[in-house]
Order: sequence, then structure tokens, then C-alpha cells
Amino acid sequence: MQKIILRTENLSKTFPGVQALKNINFELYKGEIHGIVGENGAGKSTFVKILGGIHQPDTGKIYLNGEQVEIRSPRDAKRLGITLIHQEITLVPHLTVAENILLGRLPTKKLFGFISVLNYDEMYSKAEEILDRIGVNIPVTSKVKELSVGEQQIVEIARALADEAQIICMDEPTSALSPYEIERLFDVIRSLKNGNVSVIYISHHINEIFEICDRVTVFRDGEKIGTFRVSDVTPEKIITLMIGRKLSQFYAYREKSTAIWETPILEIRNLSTRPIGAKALRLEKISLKVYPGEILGIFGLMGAGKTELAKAVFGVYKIEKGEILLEGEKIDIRRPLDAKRYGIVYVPEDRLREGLVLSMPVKCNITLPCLDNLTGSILIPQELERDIAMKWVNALRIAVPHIDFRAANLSGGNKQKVVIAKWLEMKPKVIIFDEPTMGIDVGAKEEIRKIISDLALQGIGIILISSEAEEVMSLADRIVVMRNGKIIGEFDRREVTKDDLLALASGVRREVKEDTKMGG
Amino acid sequence: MPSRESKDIREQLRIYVLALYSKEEFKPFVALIGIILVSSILSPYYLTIYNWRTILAQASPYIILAIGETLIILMGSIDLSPGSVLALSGAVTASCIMLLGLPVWLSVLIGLAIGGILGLINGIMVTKAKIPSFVATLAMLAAARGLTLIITGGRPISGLPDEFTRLAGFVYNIPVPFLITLIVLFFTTFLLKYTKIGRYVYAIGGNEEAARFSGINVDAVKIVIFTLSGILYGLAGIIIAARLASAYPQAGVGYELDAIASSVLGGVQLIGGLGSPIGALIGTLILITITNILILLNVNPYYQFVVKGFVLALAATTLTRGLRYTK
Repeated sequence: MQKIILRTENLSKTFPGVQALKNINFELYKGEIHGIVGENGAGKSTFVKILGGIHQPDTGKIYLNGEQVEIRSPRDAKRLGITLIHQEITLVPHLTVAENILLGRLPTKKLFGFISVLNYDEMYSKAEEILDRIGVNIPVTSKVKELSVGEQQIVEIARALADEAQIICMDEPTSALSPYEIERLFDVIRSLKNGNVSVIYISHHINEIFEICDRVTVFRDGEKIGTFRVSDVTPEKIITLMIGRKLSQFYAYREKSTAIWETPILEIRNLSTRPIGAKALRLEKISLKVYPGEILGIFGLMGAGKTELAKAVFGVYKIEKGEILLEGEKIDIRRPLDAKRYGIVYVPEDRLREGLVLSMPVKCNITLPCLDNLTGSILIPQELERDIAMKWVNALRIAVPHIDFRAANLSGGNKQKVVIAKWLEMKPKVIIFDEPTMGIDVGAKEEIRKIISDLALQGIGIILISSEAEEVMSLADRIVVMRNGKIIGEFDRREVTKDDLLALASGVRREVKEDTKMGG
Repeated sequence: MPSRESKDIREQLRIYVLALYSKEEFKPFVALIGIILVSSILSPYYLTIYNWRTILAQASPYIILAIGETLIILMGSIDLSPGSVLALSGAVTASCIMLLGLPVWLSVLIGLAIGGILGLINGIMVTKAKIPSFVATLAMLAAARGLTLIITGGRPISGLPDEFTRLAGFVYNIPVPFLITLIVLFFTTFLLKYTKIGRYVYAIGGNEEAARFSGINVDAVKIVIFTLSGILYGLAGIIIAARLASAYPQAGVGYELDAIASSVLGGVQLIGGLGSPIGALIGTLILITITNILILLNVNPYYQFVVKGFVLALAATTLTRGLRYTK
């Protein structure tokens, strides 16, 4: 019988408007690799954030080695030997690998018997010893910024080992890695297991789970559905459990399409991008068409390149090759201002950073993009501005006491509505929605989906980017699936099932099964 | 029992008071009133017309500098060049009058234009060459000071004509520079409150990324505002030259710190997006009043700097409350 290192009992957590976790009973064995899978919003990340001390549970208990513990801060977690590794790297780029691994416990020696200075020899040998333990060969004297993302992640793992971590939680560690780097990471994870460290491994990529995990737990809507030995289940079964059998209330939302299938309102041909200084392309030969009144869904997992595509079209990222056509005519977009002038607008995923000026009132946020078009004068037409703001506050039912209310004080759903409202006065031809309902409570989610569907009804071409299969299934006319910067499939939404989309996007399957595919 | 009406009025009043209280200028304003009250108790000379003539005349160029600096800080940038730009504008104006014999009005216009050009260069460095404003304007601080020394040969240009020094005269006990300051205050307040570019200044300072994602021509706004601030620094330089009837090559050394300090004391957030020219005015008056009262009390002038530093640090602690950390 295996030893249980970590156990949670009835762990629950509520965020405003959302029950993120419901009575989670979870067991982690010593030295196992335990996968956690679930759709977006299933509660996976919340769960490991509680273990890592970032969130506090509302109710429930956590036992470590049989003893009840309270994890009030990341410091507590570290002291108890629990380390969280997220997508974002938390290393100091200008310091060396060795310094990063041993940061916080740098070895020192005495100079002249009383001045304490860094002992570089010991630091390097210690760091090397830790890297040896996980079987990797990264020069400990090189600076972290010179390493690849995959190597940086390995350094993070090494740092966790230096901190004597017993449990390492990894949240989507492979989203930014190349296939070779993923293999290397997996080797490291396997060696952790031999060193009796337990790993909690969160991933959307079901095939990864089956490659390295011993057991897998499925989360859905904040609940634990079940834990299985991977040898006892199939990937298809796991996907079915993730989605659940109950069909959503949104599912049949838009039964009739309003698209006019003549000239595409927006066409992208062979678009490629490359991050500055990078060798590999980020997006590779993306081609797609959006028709007036159509909602084109773009589905893919985190890191598939969906946001990059949206930002390239909106003029934020430089396009290396490829063409963009608006109503059949080639256009040149170099910055968001150009895109706006052509009537192509973007509702960003990161609305706090890219969508809103939190220090300004709702009114000013709504009219910010359209001010230049209101009058030729340099003055702001005060009354017109109020009218416009009022019009959209009412039309989108934004809940604010008054339009001079600071945007910072709005709820998530209302913030998103303001970001949408600010584009509508411009009468855009194409709207790109990037994860429009992420992090928004259920009621507001439905309202925002209704807004999107109404906008399509007005003949606007809509690109809906989402990593929620349910969202694209319920709204889009056609669905494009992206993976690793490429389009790997395009479907009429009646041709595919949610299982197909997830299986394709996560790399479990390469094609839609023939029996589910009907003629287009 | 209070009637419904009086309740409504009280409710209205509460809303107004709340609105007033949530303004960034509120705390600095209360502080200024407090300092003035304390000062008038400490020294009988403080609340005299003669003293206030001096305070306002002295404060005017500082206020204009602080307003220019505020425009830049509102965009989330910083400007270290006001002191040097001021000196070069003053020196060029004086040279035009004394060495080239140009008419005073034309010389003043040229002086303002020099300020504008230096500001324009700052703006281009920040937007097109993408040099952080701290470094770009630090370079300007050095270069403009150097140019001033070259033009003046390191010696003051003195003996400026009455026609020019009248710019620093008095109208019914009100210093002309202060009247100019009021015009600048009115103009910049109007610009920020009622024009599109003013709105964009707040948007850029509040969240530059969101401003760019809203399709605002951020670079153009920055260039215009840097230029405008440059003109304001030039104006301050001309006023100082008029007050002293000469242009000194060392004029304005260290004034950038006063400009920044005044903005901060006036409630302008250093990260941008919140604050106003009124705040800059209040901040400058706080600094000047403190200096003034220390002089009236015969405190060793060297202590003034210590007191100024102390007040600035103290004020800053109240402004950054609620932030998780700063750099």
C-alpha cells in the first residue's frame, strides 16, 4: 500500500458569484505523478493555488503526512515543502542558474574570519548536484535570461528541490514548450518520482497525462468527478467525464445562423508571425474567412496561438508574411489605430491591462476610441459624450450607479460590457472577442453571449476566440481549431462534437472520426 | 423631526463632500490651508500684502514649471529637463535682445520657440527612439545646460531693457508673472478637461496599453504634450530673466526637483493618470510657503532643504497608501 503524503477533506472555495470548489476530497501518494484535468473554470488552478497558499479555502482541511496543516501564504507552503510552478516563470533573469536555484539559501563563507561573503564554489557545486539529481546538464554559471523557456522551467524545478519540496504542483507547464523540450521536461518529472517527490500535474493535454501520470483526477464545475489509474481508463473516457453528460443550457442558444455567405467581410491569407529575435514562427500560415453576420469560433488550448492571431490582425504584433483582406480588398494594418479605422476591433482577453483605463470613469472609457470621430473640433462635445455613454450603458445593461463611476469599481461582467461598449459607437465591421466570458460569473456570462449573438444579427463579422468548447459550440457558425500556432481543422459546428474539439485541440486525435462527420 | 426636503439637502451635501474628498487635490489643499494658518500665527509678517507680493512673484515661475511637469507626469512619464530648458530659453531671449538687437516681443517668441523645440526633441526621443523619459530628459538636462553655457560664454547677460523687465512688474500689487501663471493655469486646466488631447493624456497615464488598444495615437499625444511643456519651461525662463533683468547661465539648476516635488505634493500620481494643474499650483504654494516662513523665522537657509525633503517624503507616504509595493 502506498503512503499518502497529502490529503484534503471537503475543501471548498467561493469567489464572488462563483463556487470554484465544492467539497474536494483528494489524496496524493508519495512519489506519484498525479494528473488533474478539467475544462476551463473546473477549479483545477484554484485547487493548487490553495495548496500553494495563494488562496485560502472557505471550509475544509488539509493533511500533510497525516497532520493537519494551515497554508496561509506562499511562504507557509514553501516551509511545508509544497511548491507551485505556473506558466509564468518566476526566476530572476539577470542572475545565474546557480544563484536562482539557491536564492534564499545562498552558501556563504567567512573572509578574514568575520566578513560573510558568497561562496561561489560551494554554490556552483550544490547547484550542479541538484541538476544532476534530475538528470539535466545546464551550465550553472550561465544567466537565466540566456536559457530557453523549457530550461527555465527546469531551473524552477531545481529550485523547488533546493527548497526540499516534497510536492511540486505544475499548472500547464508545457504550454510554451516545443516537443523536444516537453520530452526533456517529462524526463525530469520522471526522475522526481524516483527521488520520492510527488507531482501534481495540471494539463489540458490529455495525451501528456497518459504519458507521464500514474493516476488522474477529473474536475468538473468545481467538483471532483473521480480519480483513476491511467492504466484503467482511456483518453476518450476522460474527455467524456470532463465534459459531463448533461448538455448545457447555452447549447441550443443560437439555432439559426445570420451569416451571408457571399464575400467574406474579413479574410486572412497565409499569415505568419515570429516573435522578435525568435527562430521559430509563432503563427504559421493561418488562413481563414469571416462572413458578415457570421460568428467564427476559434478553439484551442492555452498557448495554441489564438491571442497572437487576434493581436496580429489588430496590429499589435508584426505580421511577417501574409495578407489581410477587408471586404475583398487588401489592407495594411500596422497598429491598432489602423485596424480601428478599417473597422476591425478587438475585445482583449486581459481586459484590465488592455481594455480599460481603471482610473477613468465609465463614461470616458466608453467614448475613448470614438472621440476623434465625433466632431472635427479639438473640444469634447460634452452632451453628445454623455448621450453616447448613456446609450450604451442602457443598451448593454451595464450596472452602474452613474456614468461618472470609476471603472475600477465595476464587477468583472460589467467591466467586460464596458470594453465591448467602447467599440460599438464606432460601428465596427469585424469584432474579435478574445475569451469574452473568462473569469465572469454565470449570469453575466450568458448576457455577454447574448450580446455577441445580437451583434452578429446586425451583420457584423465576429471572431470568437475561446478555450471553452461549450462557448464556441453554442455560438459559432463555423469552428476553427488551433494547436501550436497552426490551424488543424475547420468545421461546420453541426459536423463536430465537443469531444472532437477537445480531442483535436489536446492532440489526442488528429482528425474528426468519420462516423460523426457529415457532408458540409 | 427633519422634513424630507432637509434630508434630501443633507444627502446632496454628503454626496458633494464625498466627491470633494475623493479629489486628489483635496488633501494637499487642506494641508496648504493648514500651513498658511500656522505660518500666520508664527510670524506677524506672514499675512501682509508685501509678503504675499513676494511669495506670488517668486512662486510664479515655479508654478509654471510644475504645471509643465504635471502634464508630463499625468502621462506616466517624467521630465528632468525643465531647469535646463528654462535656462536656455532665458539666455536665447536675452541674447536676441542684447546681442542681436531684435525687438522684445520677437525675442520672447524665439525664447518660447526654443523651449518648444527642446520639448519636441524630448517627445521624439521618448516615442520614436523609445528612450525611457527618465533617460531622454536626463540627456536633455545635460545638453541644454551645455548649450546655455556656450551661448552665454558662462557669463550672465545683464542690463535687459525696461520693456522686457516689465514682464516681472506689478499691476495693482499683483505681480504680472502671477497673472501669466493664472492664464497658464486656466489654459492647461481647460486643455485637460475639455479637449480630446487632454482626455488622451489621462488615458495614457491611466493605462497606456489600453489607450493604444483603443486606437489612440499615443505617440502623437506624447510629442504634443512634451512640446507644450517645453514652451511652458521657456516661459518660466523668460519670467526669471525679466525678474533679475539678466539671464544667468546657472538659472534653474535643480528646479526639476522642485517641479517634480510640487506635482507630487499637489496630489499628482507619479504613475500617471490622476492629478491636475490646480494640484501643481497647490503643491508649489506649499513648498514656497514653507521656504518663506523659514526665512521669516530666520532659520539657517541650509535647513530649508532638509525641511523640504522631510515634507516631500511625508506627503508621499500618504499618497502611496494601498499600494502593494513601489520601486
